[in-house]
Amino acid sequence: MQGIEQKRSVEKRKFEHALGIPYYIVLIVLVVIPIFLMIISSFQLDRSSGIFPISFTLTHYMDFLKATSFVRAMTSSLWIATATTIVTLIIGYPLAYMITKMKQRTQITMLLLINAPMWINMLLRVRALEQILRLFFPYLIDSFPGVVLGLVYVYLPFMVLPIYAVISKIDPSLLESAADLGANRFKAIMKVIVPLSLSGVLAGILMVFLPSATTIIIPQYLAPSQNIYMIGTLIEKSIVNNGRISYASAIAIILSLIILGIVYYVKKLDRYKGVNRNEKEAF
Amino acid sequence: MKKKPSNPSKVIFLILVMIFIYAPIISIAIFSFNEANSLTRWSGFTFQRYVELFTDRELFNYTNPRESIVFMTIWIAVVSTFVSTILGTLAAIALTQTKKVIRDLTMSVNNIPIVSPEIITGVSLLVLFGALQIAPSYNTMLLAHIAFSTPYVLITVYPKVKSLDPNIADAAYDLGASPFKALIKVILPQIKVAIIAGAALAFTMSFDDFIISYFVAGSSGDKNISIYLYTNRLSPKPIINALSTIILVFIGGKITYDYFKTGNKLEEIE
Repeated sequence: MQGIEQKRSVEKRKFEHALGIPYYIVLIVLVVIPIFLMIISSFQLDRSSGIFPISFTLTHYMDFLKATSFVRAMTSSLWIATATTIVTLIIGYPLAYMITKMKQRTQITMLLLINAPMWINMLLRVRALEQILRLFFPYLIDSFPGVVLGLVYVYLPFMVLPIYAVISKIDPSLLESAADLGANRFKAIMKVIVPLSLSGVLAGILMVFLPSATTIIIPQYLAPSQNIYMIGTLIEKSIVNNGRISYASAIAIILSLIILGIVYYVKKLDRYKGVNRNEKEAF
Repeated sequence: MKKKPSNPSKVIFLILVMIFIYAPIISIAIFSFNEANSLTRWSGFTFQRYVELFTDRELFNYTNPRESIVFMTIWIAVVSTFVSTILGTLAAIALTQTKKVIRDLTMSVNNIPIVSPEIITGVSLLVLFGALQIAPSYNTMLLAHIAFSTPYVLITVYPKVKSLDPNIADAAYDLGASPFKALIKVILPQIKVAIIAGAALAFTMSFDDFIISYFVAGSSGDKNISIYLYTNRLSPKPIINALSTIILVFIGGKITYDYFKTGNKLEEIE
């Protein structure tokens, strides 16, 4: 009896382990290997297709030091993404806070209204915005504020949702005790709500900053004369127009390193992690 | 507690945000009925754009679906959803049983496509297909879609599998069920809702994807709806408004349906 049970449990365990194997293969072939190939490729000369024969060159990386197009694209991307993050935070934070103060049913409706556009193809939404801008604010086309506006339009929900999620979990009795201890409303918000919602804010910052800095679509629609040149456009041009895949790989790697640096730094800022009850990591 | 009268500045703020979010979308729908070929000047009501849309050979090719952009977009979304839902669900079940090392490693690798910007995923897949000498086409697009949607299925299904009571599966084994039968009859029905949520996510991600599809298949001329919209951005055809409006109505309907479903559930709980 004992033997049969043991055999069955071994059989069961083997079966359950085997279920994961197809996905492990997919992860290795379509996620891990491509990253290594991209790194190898970034040290290759751009020639015909394929990665062989292996050569070694630092040309692409050296190019970044000389090429003004790269430096310009990188700095303007970081500026635009920073401006976008600040604007989404200024709109998103009060919005998220207001929603937490509503009735349960209204909260769900509001979140849905803010979220719903995310289910719509981003190109359709940006095209819709372009149409409105051309109709009412034509001077915003081809301008820095126009591109920022487009990014705010697309990524605002990414700021509202994590902040809402954190604020709605803050224990209301904390605010009451702040009031009991003599804090006025403004002070209570600044000393209780703001620090406790920091993790949501940081998650929102990352979720807005990263896609904003790497966007392709928005400058192409809202700055069609290409006077605003972002890193996404540079990568797209290298691949689609020039077929310089190794060069694009090198840009992608530099970009990844910058992003990793930013993510690391932003995560370190979170001093209040895990303070709220039932808190889950949003990012 | 007495209800405070709402602060007018708050109401104005909310209304402005809603206008900001919805005005462009509504304008797309309105101009899809415009008689003139213009997206900025209104000249009269017509259904002509919809007729043109459904007779457009590039978007709807009824005799040769392989050449139809709309059909191929849906086909790729369906196939990649099917494959990624199966892969992700099975992996989620396996991960709850494996060693911590494997689980943590898989979860970290699984997070890479979710966290990293799409252009980086796109470049890495492009390099892969280049190295393997696989020509860009709908096939590379499909593989790429499976690669980026399965991680979302996994993170949607995994928490549900983790919360299951292991005694129920064990009871099935004790009653003589084979591991396969226990999976089909006991485990899967319990995580059905999470699987459907994961599949819906995978479908939307695939249907809406632009950057990765464009990088891995853009040079071949095989287009999905997003690539079609993008390549036509400088010569905006009014049929695009009609196409957008149809997509909007579908998504709007789905969201409204979900809303009333969750709303009713909430009322039941209350």
